Amino acid sequence: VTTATAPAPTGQVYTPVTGDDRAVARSLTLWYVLASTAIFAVSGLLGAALRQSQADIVRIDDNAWYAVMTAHGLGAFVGWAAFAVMGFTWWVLAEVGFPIGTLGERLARAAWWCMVVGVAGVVVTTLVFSFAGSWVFLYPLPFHSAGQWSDWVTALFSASVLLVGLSIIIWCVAVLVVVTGPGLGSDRGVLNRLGAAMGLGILWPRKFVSAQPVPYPVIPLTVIAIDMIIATAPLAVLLVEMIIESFTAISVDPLLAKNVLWWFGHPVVYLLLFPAVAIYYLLVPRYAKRPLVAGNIIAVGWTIAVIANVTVWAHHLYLDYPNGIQAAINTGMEPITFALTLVSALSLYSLFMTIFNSRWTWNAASTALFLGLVSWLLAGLSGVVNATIAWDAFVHNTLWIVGHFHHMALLNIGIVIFGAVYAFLPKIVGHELYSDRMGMWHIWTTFLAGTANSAIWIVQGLDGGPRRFAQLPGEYDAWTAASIPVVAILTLVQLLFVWNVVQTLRGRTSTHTRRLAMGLDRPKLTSPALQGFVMVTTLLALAGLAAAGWAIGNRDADEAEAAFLPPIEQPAGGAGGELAAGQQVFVASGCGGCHQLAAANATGTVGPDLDQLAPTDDRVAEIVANGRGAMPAFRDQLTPEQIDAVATYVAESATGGP
Amino acid sequence: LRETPEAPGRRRCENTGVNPTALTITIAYSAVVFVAVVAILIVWRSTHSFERNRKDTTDTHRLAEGEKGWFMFAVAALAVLLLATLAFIPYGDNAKAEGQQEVRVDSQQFAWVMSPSTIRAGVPARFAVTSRDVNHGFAVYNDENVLLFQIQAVPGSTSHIVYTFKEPGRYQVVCLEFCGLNHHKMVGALQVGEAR
Repeated sequence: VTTATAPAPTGQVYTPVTGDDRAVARSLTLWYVLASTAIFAVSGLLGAALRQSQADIVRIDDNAWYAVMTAHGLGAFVGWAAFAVMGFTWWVLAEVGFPIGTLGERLARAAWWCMVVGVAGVVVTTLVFSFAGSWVFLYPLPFHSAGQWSDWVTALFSASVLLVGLSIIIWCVAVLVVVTGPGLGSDRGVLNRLGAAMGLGILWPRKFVSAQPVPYPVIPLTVIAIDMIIATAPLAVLLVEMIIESFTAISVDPLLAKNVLWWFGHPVVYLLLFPAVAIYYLLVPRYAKRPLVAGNIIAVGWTIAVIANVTVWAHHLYLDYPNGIQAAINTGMEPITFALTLVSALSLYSLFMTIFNSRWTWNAASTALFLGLVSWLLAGLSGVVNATIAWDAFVHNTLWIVGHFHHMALLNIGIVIFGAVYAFLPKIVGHELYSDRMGMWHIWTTFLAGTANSAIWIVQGLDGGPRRFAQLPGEYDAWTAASIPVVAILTLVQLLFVWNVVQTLRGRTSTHTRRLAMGLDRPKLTSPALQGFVMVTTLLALAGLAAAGWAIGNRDADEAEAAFLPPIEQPAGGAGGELAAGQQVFVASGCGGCHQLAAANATGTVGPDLDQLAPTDDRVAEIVANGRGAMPAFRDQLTPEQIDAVATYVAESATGGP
Repeated sequence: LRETPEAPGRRRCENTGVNPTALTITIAYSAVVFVAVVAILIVWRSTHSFERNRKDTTDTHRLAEGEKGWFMFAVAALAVLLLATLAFIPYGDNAKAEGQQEVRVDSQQFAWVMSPSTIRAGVPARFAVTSRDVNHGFAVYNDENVLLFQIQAVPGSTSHIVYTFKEPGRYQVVCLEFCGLNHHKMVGALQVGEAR
C-alpha cells in the first residue's frame, strides 16, 4: 500500500460520547477554559502595560519591565494559549467519540493543578520577587541578576516552571491514554494503537487497524502528545539542575543549556498549534457542511511532523556558532524546518479547500476559524523568513520576531480559542451563546487590531528595532506611539468576549439573539457587503488612530536621541575641548551601561552612581585602567590619553549629589 | 566654546540607507502576502451566494487530488528558497586569513570591552566574540541605526565574524540578546577610520 492510491475524502461522521463520559469532558473543558481565560485577562493586561511603557506614557522601572515581560511571556503563551487548547482537547476528543476514562480524568485533573500552581508561582516570583530573566530564562542569566533577585527566587521560579512542564507531560500521557483507549476500537498492542492514532492506518490500513478510520482531529493530538514528552523531559532536568545550583556550586555548559531550552522551546509552539489544528479539523467541515478535503498525503505530513517537530530546535540558535558542530547542526535544521512547514501547508490547503465554494455558515465561531486560517498563512510566511538562516541573520532578536509570534499566537491560536469558546460553550452549558453578533464584533476587531499590532512590530523589526528593550531609542518612537491606540482597542475589545462568556454562563441571551430565535430579525453582519463594511470601517478607524499616534511619536522623537548611543553635548564652561574628548570616551566605551552621570545622560544602575560618588581623577584613572570587582579593565582598549581624558571628565562633571 | 572638528556628533557616518537583507525580506514577504491575500479573498467570496438554499455541487475529490499538486509546489518553492539563500549563510566566511584586523570583543553585564576599539575601513575586521558572564548579542549598527551584522556572544566559547566596513565613522555596538537589568543600555562605539 503506497501513498499513490486515490485520495479518499472520507465523509467522517463522528459519534460523540454520551452520559458520564460527556459529563467528564464537559467538566474538564470548563475548568481548563475558565482558568486559562483568567490567565489571559491578566497576561493580556501585562502585555499592554509593557507597550505603553515603551511609548513613555506611564514608565515602568527597568527591572519591573523585564519582570512583567517574563510574566507576560510565560502567562500568555503557556498559561493562556497552551492551557486553553489543552482544555479544548478534552471536548474535541469527546466530540469524536473518545471517552476520557477514569485514568485519563485523574491525569487531566493533575495536569490542571500543576499548571495553575506553576503559573501562580511564575506570577509571584516575577511580579512580587522581581525575577526578570525573561520567559526563556537563558542560562546562566537567572544566576546573574545584577542584584535584582536572589538565588532562592531563581530556585522558586525554576520550580514553578518545572510544575508547568510537569503539567504538560501529564497532559500528554493523559491524551495518549485516551487516544489509544476504547475510542480507537483496536485490540493491538500499545505501539500499534499509537501508530493508528497518529493516522498511519490511512497509509497502511491492514497494519494499523481501528474500528473506524481514525478521526482527523485525533492525529495532531497524538503527534503533539508524543513529541511534548520527548521535548519537555530534558528541560525538566535543566530546571532541577537550576534548583540545585541555587543552593550549591554546580553548573552547566551555557551552550548545552541553550540547546536544551530550545529542544523544548520549539515544540512548545506546536503544543499551541497542533491542538488548534484538531479544533480546525473538527469544526471547519461542520461549518462547511462537507467532509474535510484531505487525501492520504495528510498522513504523510503528520508523519513528517512527529519527527521534524523534535529535530528543529537549533533554528533558534542560528546565530550561535562558536564551533563547527553547532554550525553543522544549525545548517541541517534549515531543511528540516522547511519540511515541518509542509505540514502547515497541507493543513492550510485542506482547510481552505474545505471552505472553498461551500455553503459556509458565517457566525462568530466560523469567522474566528476563517480568520485564524488567514493568520496562520500570513504568520507562517513570516516564519519561513525566520527559518532561512541567511535572513534570520538580520531579523534575529529584532521586533520582527515579536511581530511574527504575536501574529501566530494571538491571531491563529488565540482566535481559534475564541472561536472554540463560541462554538463549544453553548454545547457545554446547554444553551445558546449570549450574543453571536457581539462575538462577530469581537472577532473582527481582534483580528484587525491584532494584525495591525503585529504589522507595526514587523516594520520596526525591519528597521532594526531590537526586541526585549525596556526603552527603545528615539528612532522607533513614532511606530511605538502608533501602536498604542491599536493596543488599546485590542485590549478593550476583549471586554466584549468576557461579557459574552459571563452572560452565557449565567444563562442569558441578548435581545437580538431572542428576536432571531423568534424569526423577527435577519442575522446581521452576515452578508458580504455588511462584513466588508464592518471590516473597512474598523480598518479606517485603526489606521486613523495609528497615524495620529505615529505623528505624535514622530513629533516628540528627539532627533538627538534617535540612536542607541546617547548624544554628546558640549560641556558648558571649563576646558571645553578636553572635557568633550573625555565625554566621547565615556559614551563610546559604554560607561553609561552601568553608571549614572547626568552630564553624559548616563542612567545605568548597576555600578556606582558617579554623580553621588564624585571620585577624584586619579581614582577614576586607576579603576578604568585596572578594573575593580565587576568592572572590567579598559587598559587594553583605551590609550593612556583617553583614560586621562575620561578621568578628568568624570571628576569635573560629577555633580556630587544623588 | 571651542568647535571641535573631531567631535563625534551623530549622523557623521556616510554608511546610511537600508540593510540589503532587510530590503530583500521586505520585498519577498510583501509579494507573497499579496498573492496570499488575493487567494484568501477568492475563498472568502466563494462562500457567499445570493441564491437561497444553494446546493454544494463542488467535486471535493478533485480538490483532494489537487493537494498532491500543492504538496509538490510547496516542496519546490521551499527548495528554491533553500538553494537560493544557501550561499548567504554566514557560517563559512569567518575563517582567519591574511590581512585581517583582529578585534577581541569581551562582553559582560552591561559593557562591551573591545580591543582595539578603533579600526580601519576597507580592511576585513575579524571579531572574536565572547562573554564573561551571560549570553549577549553582539550587533553592529551604523550611526543611522541600520543593523549591519550580528552574532551571539556565548559564555565559555568564542565566536568569530568577519565584516568589512566600507565607510569610516562611528558605529554602534548594541546588545541583542536579553542579558538583564540594563540590557538596553549595553551599548558601545566602534570607531572606523579612513581606509589607507
